[in-house]
Amino acid sequence: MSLLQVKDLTKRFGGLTAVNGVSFEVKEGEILSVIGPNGAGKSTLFKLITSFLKPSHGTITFKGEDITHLPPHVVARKGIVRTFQETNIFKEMTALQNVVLAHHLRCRASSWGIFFNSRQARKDETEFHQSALEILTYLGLAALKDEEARNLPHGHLRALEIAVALAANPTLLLLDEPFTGMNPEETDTAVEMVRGIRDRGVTVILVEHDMRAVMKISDRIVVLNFGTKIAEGKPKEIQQNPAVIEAYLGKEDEEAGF
Amino acid sequence: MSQMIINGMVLGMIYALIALGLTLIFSIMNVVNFAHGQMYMLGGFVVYYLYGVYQLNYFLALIAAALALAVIGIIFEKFFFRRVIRLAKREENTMLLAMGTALLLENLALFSFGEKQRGVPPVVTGVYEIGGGYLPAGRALVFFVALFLVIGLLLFVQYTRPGRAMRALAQDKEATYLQGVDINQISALGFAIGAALAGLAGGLLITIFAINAGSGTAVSTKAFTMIMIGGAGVVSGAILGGFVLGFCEAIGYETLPGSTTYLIIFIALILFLIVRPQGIMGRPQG
Amino acid sequence: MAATRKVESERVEEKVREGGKGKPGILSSVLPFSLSSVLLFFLGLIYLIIFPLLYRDSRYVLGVVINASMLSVISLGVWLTFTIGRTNISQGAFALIGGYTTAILSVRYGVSFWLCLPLSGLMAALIGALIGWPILRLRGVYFAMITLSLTEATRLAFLNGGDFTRGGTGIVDIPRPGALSIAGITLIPAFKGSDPLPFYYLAASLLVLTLISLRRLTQSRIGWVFRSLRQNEELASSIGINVAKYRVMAYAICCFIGGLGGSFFAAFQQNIYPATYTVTDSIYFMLYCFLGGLDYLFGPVVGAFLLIISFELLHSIQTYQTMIYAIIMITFMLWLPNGILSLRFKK
Repeated sequence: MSLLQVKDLTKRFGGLTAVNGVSFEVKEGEILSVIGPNGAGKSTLFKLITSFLKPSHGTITFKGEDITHLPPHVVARKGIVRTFQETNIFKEMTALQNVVLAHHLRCRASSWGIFFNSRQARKDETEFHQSALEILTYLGLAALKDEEARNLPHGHLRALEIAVALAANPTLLLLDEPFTGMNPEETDTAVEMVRGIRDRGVTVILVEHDMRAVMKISDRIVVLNFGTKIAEGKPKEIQQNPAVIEAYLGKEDEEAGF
Repeated sequence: MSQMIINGMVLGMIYALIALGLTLIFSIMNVVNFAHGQMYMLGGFVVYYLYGVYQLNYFLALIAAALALAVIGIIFEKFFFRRVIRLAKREENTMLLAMGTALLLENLALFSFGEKQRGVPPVVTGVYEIGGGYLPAGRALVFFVALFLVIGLLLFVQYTRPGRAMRALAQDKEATYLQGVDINQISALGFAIGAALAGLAGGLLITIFAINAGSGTAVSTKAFTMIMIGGAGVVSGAILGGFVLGFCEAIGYETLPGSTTYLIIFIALILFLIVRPQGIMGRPQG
Repeated sequence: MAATRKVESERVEEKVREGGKGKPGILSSVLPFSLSSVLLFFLGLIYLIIFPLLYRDSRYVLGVVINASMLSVISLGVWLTFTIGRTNISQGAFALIGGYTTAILSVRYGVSFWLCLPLSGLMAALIGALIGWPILRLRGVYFAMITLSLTEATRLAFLNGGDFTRGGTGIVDIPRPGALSIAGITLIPAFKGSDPLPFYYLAASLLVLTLISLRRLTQSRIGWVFRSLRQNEELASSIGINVAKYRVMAYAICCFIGGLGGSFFAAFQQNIYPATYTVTDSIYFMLYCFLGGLDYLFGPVVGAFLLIISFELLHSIQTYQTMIYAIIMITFMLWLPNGILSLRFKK
């Protein structure tokens, strides 16, 4: 059974239809990429899946449950966590504090328990601290754990954002342009990192412009153009799909990496 | 009924003028001018002294009020806001600065002018009857001067070079800077015009309502209400907000006892913002 | 600016090479407790025990410190809403609500002050939560403007409350706190005559309790969640934090504290009017926070004590109090935007 089902999803902003009747499924344990030219509606699609926007029409089903109209923090609680296109981090906290905080969903102590520092609250925090260190080590950030996030260089900041998302214990992780601003070497490391995350049992959807990385990493690809799905399939099939080539016409050679 | 419409139109027009000044400063600098009401009050006092006490021509007094407030606006922008906006890590800093300037103006006025209520004799006399309601000539004058000023401002913003630069600055600061616009100069001009509008409103309205040194806070609160109704930073919203509040007041004062009008307006405002936090014309936040 | 960024990034890279080994502080390795906690302990000792013993007969001195203490308490609430990134100009409204709750309950229904005090806090918190739930969706200047209107609206509501709130004449015959006894044992004797000493002990205990509770709160996970809301609400909700719940929580706690403060002053001054707390008072509460420094729990306490006590010492300038407050506000924003405490303690 598929983990996530998007059915007939539509979002209109005034007269503009950003996402138009898009349907697709995500299987458990796969890496699915959503690609398309600028303004194709990829980011809007992400915001719809994570409930940061309300769809005009259509449904989103996760593990067989309709999650279309739940608030974002409840969607996160169900196991769907996203990263953001622009840098999005708690700037005035250290890397470690960022990741410890992001364990929030796993809190078992009540608010009163947290206030009075109950045994459960202390146990939670010790556990989160250890888990956070593990995640930071895994993503190569252990040395920077006490550094304030705003001082981190770009590449590490991207990794920290992923660390924050991982701490929320996602079943499905949505990465919004994770490789932007990275050089080819950094991208290769990051690709390995995303694979590693998938191997830990997290299903991944990503929106990305870097075609070389997309072709390398994806199990399947969904292509959007002007808010409509124009193709879906394995990387090889997508590369040969005439509709896709058409959509990318004019920059299909080098920029798009075909 | 028609009396309420007449009163609503006059109030709405002058309120639109007040809200426009506030929204102009907000859109250009992202600063809420908490001293807007105090600037209104100062404008009133300039007219009171020049026209009421020294018997100068009313319109000259009005122009003097506009100029005096424009100068205060420039001083505020140049010496206070420019530095704080540049240095501030938090938005709260500019807010507290703005509140500080409001208290400062209010106290300066208190020490210079005392606590007395001040009004001026009517500029024109006579009463018109329109459809069963009465419109005193003094109010008609206020209405038309305010209308003239609002239209003038809209034309200025739309068609002149500095006006266009202001609109550009409100849209995108960096792009405006890259186009070679002197941002400091335009900001100072915007602050000066916003302050002058407040002063003009005060100078106009003192012919109808008396003022004292403490009138400012109430006017600021009204101005905030208007731009929250219409949407902050949007010209059409400011005008709409002004008229909505003007009519609410006109209706409330006819039908409700004392200060309950504003109580109901505030409650309605909070309920309205639940449904539409960005105001009628505003862009959604975030 | 660009140069410091560069140095900063070099320092970070050095750290990557080092492998993140930090140097432990010299003092913290020798002493089992920090210097600042020793300092705090002695300050607390002086404040709670030595000072009231020395000045027990000076009504004036005690009165000044009582004022400063309770205004600190009320401002601490505002400080908490700053931690979630909201500029809150409504604290005057909730002090008013607390004050009127105590006034009406004790005058009209003869309820003991010791019950009125918590009930006033709860009433303020309840109303705060109800109003806060919708208006906390607003941010920045929008939130500031709506809370300012709220202070005005509350004043008008009490002004138009008819016989229930006695309108503009206010409630002027609020009794002093009686004895608090449980099961026949008197825990707190009645506040008799015009002796301010019991009020001093009450104010001091409320301030210490508020400080301890808020310190606990801000150091706990809840405090971190509050800070995360100030820095990035979008990210907070994406990692599963119920943003609406926590910001209402912060606001309700702020209102609770405001209600407590209002209740205290109602009993201390034995009167309350619609104009007891106005927009200007709400702004002063913020000023105390800024003056001490928004990043420090003790910020509002330092700010309030400093301003209130210095005005008492400089009698001759009291007529110019608001003017000087205005000048302080402007000067601080221009040259010391992070408050007095930022001079000594780097965050």
